[in-house]
Amino acid sequence: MPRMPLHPAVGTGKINPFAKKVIRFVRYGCTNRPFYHIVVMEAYKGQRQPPTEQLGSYDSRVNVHNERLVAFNFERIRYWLGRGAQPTKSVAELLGLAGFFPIHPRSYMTAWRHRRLNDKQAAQAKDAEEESKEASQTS
Amino acid sequence: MASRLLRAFGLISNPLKKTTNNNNGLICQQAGMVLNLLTSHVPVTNIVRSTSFFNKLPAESLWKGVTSVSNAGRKRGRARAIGKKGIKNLNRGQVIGIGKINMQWPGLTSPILRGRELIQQHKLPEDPEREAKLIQLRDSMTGFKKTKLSPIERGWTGDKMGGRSIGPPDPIGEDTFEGFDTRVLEFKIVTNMTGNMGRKRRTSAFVITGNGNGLAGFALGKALDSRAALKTAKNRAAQKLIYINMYNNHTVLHDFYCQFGKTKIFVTKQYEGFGLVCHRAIKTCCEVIGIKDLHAKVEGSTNLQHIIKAFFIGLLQQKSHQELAEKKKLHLVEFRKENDYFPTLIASPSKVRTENYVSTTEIRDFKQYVLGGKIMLEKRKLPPFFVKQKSWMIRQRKQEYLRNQDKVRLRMLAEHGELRSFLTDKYPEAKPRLMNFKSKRSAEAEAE
Amino acid sequence: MNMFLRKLNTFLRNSQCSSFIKYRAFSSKVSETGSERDPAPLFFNEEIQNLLYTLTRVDLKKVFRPQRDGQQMEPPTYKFLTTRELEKAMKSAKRKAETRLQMPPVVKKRSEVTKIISTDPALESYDRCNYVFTDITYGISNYDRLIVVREPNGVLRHAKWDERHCLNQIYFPMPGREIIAPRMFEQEFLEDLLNRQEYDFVLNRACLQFEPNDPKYIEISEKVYSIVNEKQDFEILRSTRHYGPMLFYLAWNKNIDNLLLENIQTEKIEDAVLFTKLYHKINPTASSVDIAHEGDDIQYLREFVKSEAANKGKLEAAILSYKELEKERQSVAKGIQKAHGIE
Repeated sequence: MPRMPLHPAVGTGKINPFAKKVIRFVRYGCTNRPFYHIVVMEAYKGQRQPPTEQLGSYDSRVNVHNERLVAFNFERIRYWLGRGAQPTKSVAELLGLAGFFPIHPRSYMTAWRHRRLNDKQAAQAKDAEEESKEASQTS
Repeated sequence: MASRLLRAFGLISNPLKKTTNNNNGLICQQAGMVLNLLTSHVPVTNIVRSTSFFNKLPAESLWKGVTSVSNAGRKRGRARAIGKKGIKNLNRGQVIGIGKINMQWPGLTSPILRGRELIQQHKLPEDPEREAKLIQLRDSMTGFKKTKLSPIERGWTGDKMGGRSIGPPDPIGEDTFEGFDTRVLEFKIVTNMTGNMGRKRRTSAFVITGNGNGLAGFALGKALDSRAALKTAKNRAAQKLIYINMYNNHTVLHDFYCQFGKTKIFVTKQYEGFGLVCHRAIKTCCEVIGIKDLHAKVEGSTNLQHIIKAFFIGLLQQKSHQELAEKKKLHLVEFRKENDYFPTLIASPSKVRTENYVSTTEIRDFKQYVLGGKIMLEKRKLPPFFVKQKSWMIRQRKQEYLRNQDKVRLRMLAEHGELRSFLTDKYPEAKPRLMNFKSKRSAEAEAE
Repeated sequence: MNMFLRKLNTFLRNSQCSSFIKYRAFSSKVSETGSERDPAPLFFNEEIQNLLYTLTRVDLKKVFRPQRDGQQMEPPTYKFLTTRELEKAMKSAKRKAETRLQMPPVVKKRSEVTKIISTDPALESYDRCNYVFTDITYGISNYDRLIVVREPNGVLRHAKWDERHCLNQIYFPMPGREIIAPRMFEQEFLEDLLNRQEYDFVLNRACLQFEPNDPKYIEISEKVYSIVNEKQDFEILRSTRHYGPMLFYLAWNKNIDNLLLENIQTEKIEDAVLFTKLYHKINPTASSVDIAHEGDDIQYLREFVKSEAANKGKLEAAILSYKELEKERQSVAKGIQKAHGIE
């Protein structure tokens, strides 16, 4: 069930100044249709708790134009980074892709793995083609 | 066993009673008691009374008993039931021997001898009008027959007279009331006690007549007969016509407050297309006068005659814009939302006061001025009771997913001409569908 | 990793971000190609703006005419005002009319954004789709907003205009604007609307839907202007905010015959003369610039028509008929004065 009422994007005003802060995803949306809010909140809190502040959103579902949409409030992200908030790996990856952070090593690893898989598949396809050609020639 | 024996004795002891099963009876007499004991226990006797309610009384009084109510019953209000159920004497008009097939029965429907000739029983040509005549006779038996009115002719509620139209007033000499329409506002029975007659009943009719173009009049008519009451009221109303000024032929000149006795009315001027939002009697009045847009709130007593009188007083006490400006010695300026609150000068007095001559204590606000300083009570609309319940919260949460569904559907239809999205090609099994069982059924029927 | 990021953050704040947010400077640089003449500096010239506003001939009743915007009506309100208060109200209404008549800018078509921020071949095939990043920082205009796209081949570039339109509308929706342009701007429906003389409606909707430098907006507005000119329906657009841009369009394209003809036929000689001035401001190299205006408007117009108009015969005939009409009127006025014994 959706959380009602939705927490305001400017935050709930309840901030624990001594707790460790993280910039992380919070899953909204419904079954089979994820949608993420990018929020800053205390590290010990569960994702269903009211966040300190919303910093953006991430729609992981590809849209008509073959895009994944990410929104960042860079001003507030800079503020919270300055206050010592730490982004989670996935958020850091997105910030890297946006050109705000250096590219996250995990992004490079993923890209490399995908390339390797693509090459493998391409090689397999090529082999299969050659085999079929040979088969047609022999017959 | 004892009871069986007893029954058997009873059978023997009452031999006079008629036995229905003759065969059985014969066996009884011939074979005697022993055989009778051995027979099955099917009831063998049936008590038949030769005299009954039906053959004691003649047909006429039997029918009377069904179709009419005694005087005592009439007093207790049972006669109403007879009229409602429409019980008719079906025997009227029927003659023994004459039926659907037109047979001639000598001795019954015709003499046996005609001159010296013996009449034979034979079939005559059928009478096609017989059935229709019978039905007509039966229909004529019911005294009052309700005619079904069309929804337009119908009044405010049910078969009551209130709000119903009774046509234009009767012409006086050569003056006809063309384009006039009369509507009944109140129709009731009134009584008074007299010395020698006791309770004397009369019908009272309160009607309004008008031409829908500013001319209208209302009157009260009383008579013993309801028709006469309506007629007198109608013709009296025609004698009391009043001309009422309107704004652009659609609404009142300005807001006003009016009062008659304890009945107070707040009338608000409205924009074109607003309609009549008011008491039904005021609505009928407005329709007859020709006012199309108006809001009115009745406070205090809702005595109908008082409402009408108060409303007419208010209408007559309206002032034209020029008069208002002249009285106040200030410009009267109109602001309309559709014109983006552009100040339109409506009336200017011959001599305008300057700021120095406008007292700080006088009423400058137009609405307050025309309402005579009265304020309409606007009740706060409270939220419905169920919004406090937990189930409402749960429902709201469930509905949250569907909040944009209709818009998405519209967008899909606008873009693709059907319910589909760009994902439908990839996942055809998840094609969006309307939950419309009727269409589903028709689709199945088509497939078959 | 996180330690590194935190240190990096201070660096980023000082160096990168100032250039990060300002997008306008970058976008204006891109749009300069220099192949066509740019109407913007001329259109925003104060003298020309004043001329256009004068020629619009503000009629307050028309400016504040009932709008068909689907809003709930309200009962009218009334006020008792003194003369001074009434004047004040009229003055504020006039000011309101000025804002309502603010002309949509006439600018050059924008050119496509092609700037690449960085290329990282090591990120190739990170994903099969684009990642679009929008800066939703509070208080940045749609025009200045930073929107970047990471493509599957590892290229990070600025978003194209269409993408910008989409994303701005998604994150900061403008009421009335739609992500997909309404079908009324398609050829067949537009044609129908123009046949019904709904010029004002089409232009207003186009203003709402498109940016003024959008090629689509320029195409639609120019089409409407040309049809208005063809049918001489100037009266419909007069006293609306689109009349100025239309005059500018006509003077820019030297398509002045119909307007002058209409002005002379409806006896708006002053307007015709003002329009010739506007024409000279926009086309300073025209041959008629040297014609001196010596008090007589008709004479001046005749000479102007001789040197500039494409269809001289028609215009000259109109001027002649106007002259004759004027003469007749004068004689009639004289006669009336005589009859009254005023002389």
